[in-house]
This record gives sequence, structure tokens and C-alpha cells, in this order.
Amino acid sequence: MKKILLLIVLFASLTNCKKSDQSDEPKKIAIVVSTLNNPWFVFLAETAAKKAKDLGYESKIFDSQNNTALESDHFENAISSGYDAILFNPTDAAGSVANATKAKEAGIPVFCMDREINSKDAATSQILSDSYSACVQLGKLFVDNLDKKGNYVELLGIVSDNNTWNRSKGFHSLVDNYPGLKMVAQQSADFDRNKAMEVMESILQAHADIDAVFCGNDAMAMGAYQALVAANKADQVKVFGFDGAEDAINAIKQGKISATAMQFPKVIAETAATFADEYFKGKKDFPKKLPIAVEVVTKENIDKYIAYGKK
Amino acid sequence: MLQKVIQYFVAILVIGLVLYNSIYFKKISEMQVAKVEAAFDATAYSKTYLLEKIPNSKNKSVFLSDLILALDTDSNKAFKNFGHSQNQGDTKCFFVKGEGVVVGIDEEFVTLKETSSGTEVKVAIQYIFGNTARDCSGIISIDDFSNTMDLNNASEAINKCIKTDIVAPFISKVKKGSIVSFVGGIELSQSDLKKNNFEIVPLGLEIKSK
Repeated sequence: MKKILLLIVLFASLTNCKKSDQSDEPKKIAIVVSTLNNPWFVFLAETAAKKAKDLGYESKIFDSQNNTALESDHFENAISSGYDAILFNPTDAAGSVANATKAKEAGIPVFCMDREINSKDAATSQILSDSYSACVQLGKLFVDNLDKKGNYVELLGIVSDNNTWNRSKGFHSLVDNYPGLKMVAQQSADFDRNKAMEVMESILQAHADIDAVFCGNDAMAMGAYQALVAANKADQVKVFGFDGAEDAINAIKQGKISATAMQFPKVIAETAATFADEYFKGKKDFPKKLPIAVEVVTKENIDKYIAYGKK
Repeated sequence: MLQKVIQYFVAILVIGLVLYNSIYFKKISEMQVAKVEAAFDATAYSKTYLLEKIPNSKNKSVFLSDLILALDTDSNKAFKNFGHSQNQGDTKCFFVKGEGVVVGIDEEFVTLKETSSGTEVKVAIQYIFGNTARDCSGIISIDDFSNTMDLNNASEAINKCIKTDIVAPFISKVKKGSIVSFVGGIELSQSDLKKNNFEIVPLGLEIKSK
């Protein structure tokens, strides 16, 4: 009889271990990030982790390596390991919905950072950069810098990410009004610096006569710039990026690239961690989508900015 | 014997529990939700917004002369009371109305001398872009959309609709000296506030007389 009781107790403790009272232990926050192969996302993840720590929580960063299947594994791990919230930078606007939904069904709130998922309710809140509006502003600058005429190349980010298209569409909503500006090539370089360099090298072989390159992020802008340097065209071709990453800010100071759009990853990451804290304390009513304004950075106003934010 | 039965029972329970948590079924229709939501008809949305909602919401707009006065008195309060935006930034859009005499027409703008304020305002007729038309009225919320691409597609469709349904019939008739009443959007930066030379994205234009 004692053995039966022991087995029942053991079984009950095993099945309930996840739900056990953890009031003495700090809550745990999983930070699932699309890639750590880009300094901007490293900054986003580390800032979120620091803010979580400052608020008294444990956290762990998971790198999805731009792979939705790996991201799915991270969610499974986070759910089974008893994490209490997930700060999430998705790999795929549509493909990542299932992961956020899985967490929601497990009672774990998900707060998206920077990248969006195509759902109004899978995530508790989504804190996003207003990429479209920023690229309208970048488009204005682009038109002025090129004096409304010239050939240009566009390097797109990951095609399944909404930011890629919000940036491209914002830019084109303005630039396409000027018939003197001709896009001679548009290719994806997956937000990746090395890939952007390769893609740009190949484009330059087919289109030697270009005046500008518009890139969906700073990593690609820096890759494109490297390709232009190698082709001895860096002085003739204006490069535009997006992010406000450290190397792009330095490159603007040095006159290597013309402009970028400053996102504020610190604001995004800290807001997500703060939302998780508020959720733990009982708040349940959050804005479904919270766009954060993005600012255009040029050599003229660079003194106001540092990498990833304002001075 | 009893012990073996219990052992088998516990083993089956544990295996069952593991299997239950490992496999789950979902309707394909649920998995397709994101795709269905992506089928957003931006053109129809923009027509409803511009040709039905805006005319019915004119009472929410502020007279340009009143806005100018409010900005002169307390710009922070004016931004708070009259400004709209989808993001948390420095720039806000304002839903304004007024009336003025046409004092100039060029490729990009029709310039009016606004009657109440005496200010010259430029009504955009060539380049309509950005989110001013979408955001100025405060009617549209980001939470109405399943993703920001649809929200931004709405902006582009509204801008196109302005050119075809508002600007085209207007520029075919407008002349210098015409009296024009307008409702539209203006975008202002709080940190770099310019209280003259307003550029208006038109949401409604009416020529009252020559």
C-alpha cells in the first residue's frame, strides 16, 4: 500500500512540477531572436535581457538563426522549461504565428519586438518600428540627393518579413513618382552583409552605371558599400541603409554612406520587457501593435545620434 | 499481481501523457487564418474611407484658423488635442478645414489665401504620399488591421484615390480667383514646428464660385 501511495505522490509531483509554486524563484523570460548574426539583433536581445534582469527576472537568449523550425524548437523548450513570458523577434511574419499561438495556448504571453507576426491576437503585444513612414522620409531624401534622376539598385531583406516590404513600399511610394529615377535591379540579400556584397558585385557586372543603392538594412548597406569599394565606385554611388547600426553611423560620419533610418532597439526591447513585468503584475490590456517612430540620420544631423539611438 | 497491474497502469498513464503532449491536431482552416487575413482589399477600403467616412466626419476636423491660434497659444496642448498618429513619434497629423481664394496654381500645388486666418496654404495636387491622409482624421486604428502591410497598403490606396477622385475633378475646373472650401490633412513636427506655409493633403475640395 505504501508503494502505491509513493507511486501516486511521485507521479503527481512529476506531472505538476511545471505548475509548482515558484513564488520564491524569479520568473523566467525567454528572449527568442531571429538571428544573432547581425549586431542590431544582438543589441536588441542583450538590451531586453538587461532590462529583464533589472526588473528582477531571469532570462535566456535563444538564437533562431533565421530558421522557423529552430524557432519552433525554442518555443517548445521555453514552454516545457516553464518560462513565464517570451520576448520574441520572429523569423517569419506568417510562419511564426503558430509558435506564438502555441505559447498563448500554454498561457505564456508573447511580446513581439521589431518584427511583426500576421496576427492580431497570437501575441499579447507587438512593439514595432514604423518602417513605412521612415522609408517615405528616406525616399524624400533619396530624390533630393539624386536631383530626381539616375539609375539605382534596391537590396531587399528577407522576403517573408513584413519589414522588408514596409520599407520597400514606403520608399517606392515616393520615389516611383519621379520618372527620372530608374530602378535597374531589385534583389534580396536577406538582411545579410556578406550576401549583400555578393549580390552587389553581381549586379555591378550587369549594371555598371548606377548612382545609388537603397538597402533594407544597414548590414546590407555596408555589404553593398564594400562591393562598391572593390569596384572603385564608392565615390560615385550613394548608399542608403536602415537601422542605425554602429558601423553605419560611423560610415555616415566618414561620408561613406549617405543616410540611414534610426530605429530605436533600446526603446523596443525595454518596452517589451516592461510589458512582461506589467503582465506579471496583473495588467492584461496592452496595445496590440505599438509602432515606434524611426528617424532619418544624415551627415547633417549625425551629431544627435549614437549607434542604436539618440545621444 | 496487484503490484504488476499498478505498474502497468502507471506506465500506460505516463506514456499516454507523453503522447498526448507530443501530438496535437489543428484544422487546416485555422492554420490558413493568416493567409485569409492577407486578402485585404485596399482599394475598396480607401473608397469607403475617402468617399463615405471622411464626408461624415467633417465635424471632427478643426478650422485651420483655430488650429493656428491653438498652436500659437500652447503648441503642446494643440498637438495633444488635435494631433493624430499611429506611432509614438514627434510628427502628428491634423484634420483641418477652411476656405480660401486661389492665388496660384502650378504643377505641384494650388495655393490658397485662407479666408479666416489670412495664411497662404498649399494644396497638394501632384505628389500625394505618406500617411497624412490615412492618419489625420483619427478614424483609422492600427488595431483594425491584422498586419502593418495592410495598414500601409491602405495608405497607398487612399493616396491614389485622392488623385483620381478628389484632385482630378478639381484641377479640371479650378482657376485663379476661385473660392475653394477644403478639408484635408497636414503633418507637423513638434520639435520643428512651422506655422506658416502649410501643405495640405486634400480629402475634400469644393469650388464655391469663380
